[in-house]
Amino acid sequence: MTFYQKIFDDLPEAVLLTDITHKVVDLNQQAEFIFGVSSDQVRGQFFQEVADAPQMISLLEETVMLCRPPRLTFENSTIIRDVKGRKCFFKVSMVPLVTFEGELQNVLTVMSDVTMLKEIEQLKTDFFATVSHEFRTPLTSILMGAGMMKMGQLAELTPKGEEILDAIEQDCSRLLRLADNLLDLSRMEAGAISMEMIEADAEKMIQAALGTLKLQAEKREIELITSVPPDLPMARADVTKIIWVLTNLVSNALRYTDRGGSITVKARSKGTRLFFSVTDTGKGIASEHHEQIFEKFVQGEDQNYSSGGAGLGLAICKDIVEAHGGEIWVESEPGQGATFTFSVPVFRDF
Amino acid sequence: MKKAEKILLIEDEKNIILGVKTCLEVADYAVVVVEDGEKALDVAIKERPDLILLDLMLPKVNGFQICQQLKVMEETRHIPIVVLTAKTAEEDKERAMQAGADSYMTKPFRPEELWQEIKRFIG
Repeated sequence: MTFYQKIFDDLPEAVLLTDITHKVVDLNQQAEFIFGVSSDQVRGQFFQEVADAPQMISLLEETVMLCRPPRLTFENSTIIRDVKGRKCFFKVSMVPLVTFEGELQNVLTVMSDVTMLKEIEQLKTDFFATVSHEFRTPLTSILMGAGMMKMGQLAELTPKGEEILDAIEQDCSRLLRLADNLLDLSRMEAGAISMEMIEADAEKMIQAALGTLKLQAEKREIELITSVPPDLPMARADVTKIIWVLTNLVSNALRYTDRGGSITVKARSKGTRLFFSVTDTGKGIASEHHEQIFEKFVQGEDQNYSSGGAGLGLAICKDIVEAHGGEIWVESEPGQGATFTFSVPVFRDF
Repeated sequence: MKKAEKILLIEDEKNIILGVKTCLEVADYAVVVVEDGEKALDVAIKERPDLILLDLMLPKVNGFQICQQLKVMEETRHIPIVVLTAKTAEEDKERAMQAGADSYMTKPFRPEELWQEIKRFIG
């Protein structure tokens, strides 16, 4: 066995080499284990005869046909296989191998075992969902009690009593936001493992985000303005998650903008980046809080825009944007409103 | 005087029972409470309430099943069912509506929201 053959076999990833007709050229030990075959048996056989993995076949076909790595999404790149009675998850990637003359010769397929990550992710999802659920029940009895007292249904209320009940209601809303954010966090895992990057229309994402908030803005007489240039390039983004980020930024802006104010959502491009910004006419944020507000579980002195006050929303926004390879920041001065901006990559076809 | 409309509350959390029952009583509804999901059907048949408030997570039996059974039985199928639940997922809502629920309220809610929802069906 050559030195390189040993390295090939000992790799923790499963590696498979096929030719342009999808015949197996070679596979390492880990691949033998996953597919339950021995390399001596399957060399020269068509891959579709070796393993029942239609997802992989279509990825192989795409790679051969277009002579470039296939376009991977969360759905098509995660392969589930039963390995010795255990349900395992593999992340697949493929690379075309081209000769010096530029001719496609082989496709190299690498499969990494992400089962443990999947299991941890599931645990976390379940945990957050449980916590969020457990918040809701006690909040119901608190809000019911406070509400009835406030209406004077249970006893006559002093002005101080009313003030305290207002505070209780406000803090219940805050806890509820936190519970909602935890649920979102569990549903929208921002890690790279569950990102589904596609060609995405900025205008459509902005409209989807604003759609759910229009009524709330109307009620509070806050004008929602959008500005998207008609020739804006498409973004490379996970649409659901970017809509979530935009919704979160606009709903924060709504919370901190006074009646009669306005919120402007803009998109523009520069080089290979698309920039989204949400500008409000609210009370602004002191510069010492500009970084802190994106952190999880940090309580700033500035109750108005601290992470605690806004729930986990901004921290999740940051996770999502960074998983896109982008950045998020805020520009603001007290009394001058705030502008939140984030970037995502422009979509590029190969 | 008109007889008070009767609401059956199927719920096992003591504090929620206190809050919801009080909230309904100040609005002049008569309230019957069942904490045990297994007894819910019998009580519904015996009491013939005008509306049922149903929690989905009850010990021993599941709220979806109770909902379905209430909507199958001759004696109770006409009674509107408002689900009160901490389950916020869209699939739970769909499941409850498929089981025959007439409305789905997620916890927490405020007294006025509960009154409003009840008024959609009675009074």
